[in-house]
Amino acid sequence: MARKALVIDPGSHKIGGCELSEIESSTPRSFGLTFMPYEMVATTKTPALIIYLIDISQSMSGYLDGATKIDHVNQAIASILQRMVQRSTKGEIVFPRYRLAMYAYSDTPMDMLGRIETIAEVVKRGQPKLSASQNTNSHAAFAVARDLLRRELPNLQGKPAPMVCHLTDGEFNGQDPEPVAQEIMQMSNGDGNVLIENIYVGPNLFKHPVADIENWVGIRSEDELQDPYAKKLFRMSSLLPPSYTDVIESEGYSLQAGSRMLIPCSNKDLIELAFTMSGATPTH
Amino acid sequence: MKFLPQADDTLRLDLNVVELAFRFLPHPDPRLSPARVPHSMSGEKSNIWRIQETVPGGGEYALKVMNTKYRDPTLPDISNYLYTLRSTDGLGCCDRICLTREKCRTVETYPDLEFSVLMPWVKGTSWFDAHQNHNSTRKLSKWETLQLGRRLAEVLAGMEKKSLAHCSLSPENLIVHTGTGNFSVQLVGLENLYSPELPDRGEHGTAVGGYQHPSHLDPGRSSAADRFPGGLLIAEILGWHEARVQEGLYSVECYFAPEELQTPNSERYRLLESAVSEHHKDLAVLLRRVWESRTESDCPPLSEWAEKLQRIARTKIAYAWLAEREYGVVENGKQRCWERHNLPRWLDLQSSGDAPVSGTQRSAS
Repeated sequence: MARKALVIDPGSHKIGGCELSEIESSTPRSFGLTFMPYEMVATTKTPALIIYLIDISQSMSGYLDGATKIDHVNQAIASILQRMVQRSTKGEIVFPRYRLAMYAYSDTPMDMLGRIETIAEVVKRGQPKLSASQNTNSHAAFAVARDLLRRELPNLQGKPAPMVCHLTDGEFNGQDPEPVAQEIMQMSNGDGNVLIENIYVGPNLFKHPVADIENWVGIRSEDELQDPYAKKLFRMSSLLPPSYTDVIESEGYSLQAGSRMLIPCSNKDLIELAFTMSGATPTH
Repeated sequence: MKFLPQADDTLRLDLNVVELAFRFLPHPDPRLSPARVPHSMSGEKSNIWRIQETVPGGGEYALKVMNTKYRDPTLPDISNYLYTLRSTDGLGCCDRICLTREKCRTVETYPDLEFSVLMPWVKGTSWFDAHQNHNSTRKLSKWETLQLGRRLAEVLAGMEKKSLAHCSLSPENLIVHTGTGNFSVQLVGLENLYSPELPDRGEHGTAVGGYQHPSHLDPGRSSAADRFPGGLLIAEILGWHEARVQEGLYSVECYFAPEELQTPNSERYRLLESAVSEHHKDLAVLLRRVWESRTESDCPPLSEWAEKLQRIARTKIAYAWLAEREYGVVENGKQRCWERHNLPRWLDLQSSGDAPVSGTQRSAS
C-alpha cells in the first residue's frame, strides 16, 4: 500500500492532515515544525538509527501499575526489540534494518552497547535488565546523543531521519536539557529533522486520563497536560510525521500525524505504545 | 490482551470445539535464544508466527495474524476460496483455515487473532534470505538454478493459465527448496491474489520497488500482473550460479534498484542477461522483452518462460559439459562424473570429437 502523501492545502492550512493553526498556537517554539517528508524507508541500504536515552534514576524503582517503572521499561524494551527483529526477518536471517544506540543515565550517561549496533547484535545480548540508581542528569544524556549525531549525520544522507527516544520519570537534576534537545531537533539529514520522542513515566500527567489507548490520537496541545515537566517535555518533542502513522496503525494504535512525540505513561500499556512509536520508522 | 508471544509459549486454539495446543518455535538463529525471540516475521499487513503442534511429531504451521487495519471481514471468504486452490502447484499454503469467533473461541481471549489464518509452514529458503547469502542457495550450480527457474516458471505459468496472479511477487514471498535433487518452489503471501472468481478488492499489487513495473499504464489487476516481477525473478534465479550476479545485488530487498528498472545502461541488467544467456540465448531474449515492455501485459506470458525452460532442461547435453567445468571431475580423461546432477552416463564425450564448449553453444545445436 502506498504511504500517505504529504498534502499541503494552502486553502485550509492543512499539512499532512494536521491543522497548521493548531500547531502554531500550541507551540511557542517552532523547532521541528518544518514538515519534511520522512519518507525514507528503513532497509539494509538505508537503516534507521534510533538512540535510546533511558533514565535509571532512583525514582524509577517506584511502583506504577503493579510493578516498578524500571520493570515496565525493561519489558517494553524487550517487546520493541522483538518487534524490530520481526520486521527484519523475511525467512531465517535477521537483516540490519535498524541500528541502535542505548544509553542509560543517572548522574552520567552509560553507553549500554559501547557502540552503535544492528538489531540482531543487540538482541543477541539477551533481554535488557536495567536497574535504578542515583540522579537524573537529562542534559548530559541529550548531550551524548547530540555528539553521537554530529558524528553520524554525515553518513546518514539518503537514510531515514534518526530518532532520539528519551524515557524519564521526572524532573532533571543539573542543567536544563531543553536547549540541547532543541539543538538536536534542528539537526537534519535529507529525510528530515532529527526526531525526538519523550516518554514520561508517572501518574496523573494528563488533565483527562487516556481512557482508550487504542483509539487515542495523541497530544496536540500543552493544555492537555497538567504536570509542568510534562509541558516542558512537550516542547522538547517533535511532531509525529504522517509516514510514521502507518507502522503505528499496524500495531493497533491511532496516533495521528502532527501530534507530539510525547507519551505520558501512567500505565504499562502506554509505555508499550510509547516504545512502539520509537520503532515506527517506515518500513514499506 | 495484546498478542506478543515469546519463544516456547503455548497457544491453545479451540478450533470447532477441538482444542489444539501449539508451541511458538524459537528464532532459527540460536544466538537470539537468550532473548526468547520467536520465529516470526512482520509484513505491512500481518505478523507471521511459526508454531508447532505439541504432540509427538506435531506438524509445523504458520499463524498469520492480521494487523488491526487489515482485519477484514471478507478474509474468511478469501481463505475459503484460496482453500480450493490448495492442490495447485506452488500454492501449498492455500491449505488454510481462517480463525473467526464462530470457529475459534480463543479469539474471545485474544481479539487480535480474529481473521488470523492457520496454514502449513512452508519449508525451504526464502529468496530474500538467498539475497543474504543463505547457506542453501549460496553455491547453486548452473543446473540447480535452471531447475529452480523452471519450477518457478511452471508455478507462475500454471497460475496464469487459471487466470490467477499473485500480485505481490517479491523475494520474501518466494520459498525455494533444493534438497537432494528435489527442486520445489512455493509462493506465500497470497492474500492479494487476483482471480476472476474473487470480487475486486480495489487493491493494486504491493510488489516491492525493485520488482514493480515502472509504467502505470495497466488498467488494474489482471492475470498478467506477475509477468514483470515473475520474469525478473525467474531471470534472477537462473543467473544465481554466477557469483557476479549475487555480488551485484542492489540490496537484500531487490536485485535492481527501483529507479534502475528498464533503464538502457543498467550494469546489473547486463550482468543478469549475460548469466541467463549461459543457459540459452533464448532466455536472454525473454528477459529483454520483459525489460523493454511497455506494460505488464506486454511482457512475455509466463508460459513462454516455462516452455522454454522445460525444453532446455531436457537438453542435458549442455549441462553435461558444464559439469566438467564446474567440478573438474574427469575419470581416465574420458568419462565424466555426473552424479552431482544425476545426469546420464550414456554420454560419450570422446566420440563427439568436440572440445568442451559453453552450454549455450551446445544446447543451441
